[in-house]
Amino acid sequence: MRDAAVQHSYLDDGRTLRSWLLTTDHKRIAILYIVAITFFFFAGGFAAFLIRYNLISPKGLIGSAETYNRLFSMHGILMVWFFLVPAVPVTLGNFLVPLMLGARDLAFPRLNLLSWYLFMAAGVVALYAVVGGGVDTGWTFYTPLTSFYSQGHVIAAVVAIFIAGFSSIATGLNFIVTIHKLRAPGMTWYKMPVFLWSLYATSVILVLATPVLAMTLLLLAFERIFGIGVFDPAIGGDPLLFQHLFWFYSHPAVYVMILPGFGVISEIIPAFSRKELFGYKFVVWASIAIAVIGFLVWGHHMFVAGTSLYSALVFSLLSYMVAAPSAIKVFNWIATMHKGYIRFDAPMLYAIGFIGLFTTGGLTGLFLAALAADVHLTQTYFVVAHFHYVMVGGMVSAYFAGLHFWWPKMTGHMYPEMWGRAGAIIIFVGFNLTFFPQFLLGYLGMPRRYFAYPQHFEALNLLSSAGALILAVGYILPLGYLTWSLLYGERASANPWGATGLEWTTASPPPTENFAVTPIVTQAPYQYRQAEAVNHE
Amino acid sequence: MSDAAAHEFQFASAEHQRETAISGIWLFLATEALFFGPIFLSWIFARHADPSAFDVGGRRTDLTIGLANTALLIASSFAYGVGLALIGFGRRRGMVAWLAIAWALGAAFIGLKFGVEWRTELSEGLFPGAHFSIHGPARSGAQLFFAFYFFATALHGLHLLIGLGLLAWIIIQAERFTAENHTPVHVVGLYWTFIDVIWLILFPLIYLIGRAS
Amino acid sequence: MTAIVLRLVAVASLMFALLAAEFAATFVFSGWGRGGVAIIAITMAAVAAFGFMDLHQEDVTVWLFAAAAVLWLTILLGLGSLDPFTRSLFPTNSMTP
Repeated sequence: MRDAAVQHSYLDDGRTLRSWLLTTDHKRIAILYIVAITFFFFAGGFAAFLIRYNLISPKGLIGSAETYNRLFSMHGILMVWFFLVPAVPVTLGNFLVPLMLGARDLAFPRLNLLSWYLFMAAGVVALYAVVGGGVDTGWTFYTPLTSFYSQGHVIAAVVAIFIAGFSSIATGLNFIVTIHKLRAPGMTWYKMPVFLWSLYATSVILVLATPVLAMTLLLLAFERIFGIGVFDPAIGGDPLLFQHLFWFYSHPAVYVMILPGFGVISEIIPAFSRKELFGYKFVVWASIAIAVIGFLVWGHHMFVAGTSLYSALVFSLLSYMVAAPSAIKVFNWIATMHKGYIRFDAPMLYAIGFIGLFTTGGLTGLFLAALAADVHLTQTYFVVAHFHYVMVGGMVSAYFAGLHFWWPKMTGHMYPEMWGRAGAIIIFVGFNLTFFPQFLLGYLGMPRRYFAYPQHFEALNLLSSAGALILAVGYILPLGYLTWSLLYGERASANPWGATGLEWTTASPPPTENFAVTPIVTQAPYQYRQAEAVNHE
Repeated sequence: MSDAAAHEFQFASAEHQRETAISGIWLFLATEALFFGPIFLSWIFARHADPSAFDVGGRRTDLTIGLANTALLIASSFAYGVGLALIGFGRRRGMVAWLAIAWALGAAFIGLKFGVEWRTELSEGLFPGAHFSIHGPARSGAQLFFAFYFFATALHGLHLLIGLGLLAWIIIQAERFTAENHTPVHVVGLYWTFIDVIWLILFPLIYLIGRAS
Repeated sequence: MTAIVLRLVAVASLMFALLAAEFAATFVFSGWGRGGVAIIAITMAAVAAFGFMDLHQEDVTVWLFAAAAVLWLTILLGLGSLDPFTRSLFPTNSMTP
């Protein structure tokens, strides 16, 4: 019975809807998640598109500031909690963690399925909040606006995020315990691919920061329902306490949105440069350092909020420390490519784009960490451009890079390479056209979250909106050709890229139990040899 | 191991499955500890805003019930510990008896906290808001205290209720557990004592600091 | 068996003794004050973790998780209270009615 199952791919192991909805197979749950987050990505993207549509004209084309507020709140909430935070961990992570470890599944498969149902429940509540009229608070939910004044569906939105939080915690917990306990024989910590290390670092944040957000949202709901609470300045409560708690989660959550991307890039660069990853241990410990230091810097979101100067100075200095491990990674990727035998397939194009865009986003982050510069730049489009370079230019590129890289493994089909390359280039061009003008707008003083703007900002806004159109084409393209490849794509071999890593040693798509025989690991990761690659070509 | 086959397919052995489950629950408890973090931080912020007014609120709590409840939870963790030790020696009926005692002590906590203490406080008008019954200069600080108090005790009580449910589930399922195979008893026990630990921190924040000099 | 129960009795007794000490710090020895109460409360939490939850018997992984909880709580409470404790409040003219 078991032996027969090993022959079949996980996709053939039951074809009913029930076999999918009640599965505890990490690979199937990953597919369920891909379907869900793709929906939320396009829902959030649609809101973004309307935002850029509105800003084509200085007077605003939507006609209502109230509607505009609800649009950017919806965009932020859906994109942060229903796409960026889960994106890579629940899809590529769920699929690959056991495969890369040489395990048969995650440590707690039923918890994994539960996390998907929690995510879907949260999504339904969030959609209810959006369809029912939305919220006008922004994704940050600052008090006292949310607790006393906002008219929107704040409670529904808060409940949605609360539930989504527990989905994150379940995933993070599962990954950490799995990586500690389910490594194949011989798979020591330093033999693990960097992707696993970065998911480990991500999970540390998910597990230790998300509960803080959950409780903070409960405190907020309590205050909104009873009209009184610990953030209420009328009785001596402190609205800044909300911001401290919120950013204790949400700043590390920024690293949740980028660390898995670092992991993906660290797999792809060596594979397409045919070289061992430069400075493996530095890359590994940079991930852990980012996860830990990321918890010490949240105050830089509050420099102009009225926190004490002393604490602002401490947070500013600590914020600079995060730059070091991030820079280490960038230099190590470039050093890996140096004198490598580089192939420009779609995943590699996305990865190279990632390095450039993330570096831009990261370096402009230093401007914002500097106390004096931040007072000028905060609340302007400079901040919007900065974090979109990291989140969209960085994370979304990395997600697409990973999706293309492991697509043959997940589906058993190759995607059409020329379309893949075209998509990567269109996204890179469209992205820069959308967001680079926003750096200039912010520097010139255009505030964020405004529905209208002075006439002299029109040209740059028009450029940005034109870029958004190109970007939209770039994102819809993969939806088309990846779906096409499921039906007509060329059959993929077990290891189409000639990459290292245990996931490439099993069939594409893998059997339900992953490995017919539990693998024994003897080699360090990324043992690429250039001569071999030349012959392969 | 006598029950070497009794493990799920991703584990190498029953022992492997057991230690994975134990580390899983510990990581979950770490999550829970951070979950209560904002409550502790809001206590620090709220008291720092106006310490003397905040303490006026603290002195209106019922110290006797607070003390009794603390004793109940310590005794309950002890009872659970004995029950867990008994199943380790295969004494299932002894385990059920001691777990029932632990359950009853936890239920007594809930009864005292919400049936007696909360009821008295609500009838005395101590819930913050327009009808708050403490007047004078300490009114704001005392309201802040009671906003913290009701929120924190409600959250802790909710955890205890979940714990009571889990404990009842263990008692109902007692037939399943043997000296070698009783991981769920161990896991629920860790959660049960963790609720106790949270209370050991909340207790002085609510009842003692306001009364100390 | 008896050894384990005796140990649990000892742990529970220690907990009750610490509870009494907490009361002493609050009402009898005013010199101990609030700091004393806080230290005793943290000690009680630690005794429960080692005495009832048997932390000392667990492997490195569990130790790591428990230590992470303590470290991250320290970060939250420490850096979080840095701001209110060093803030300077300026008097304003417009008082709320």
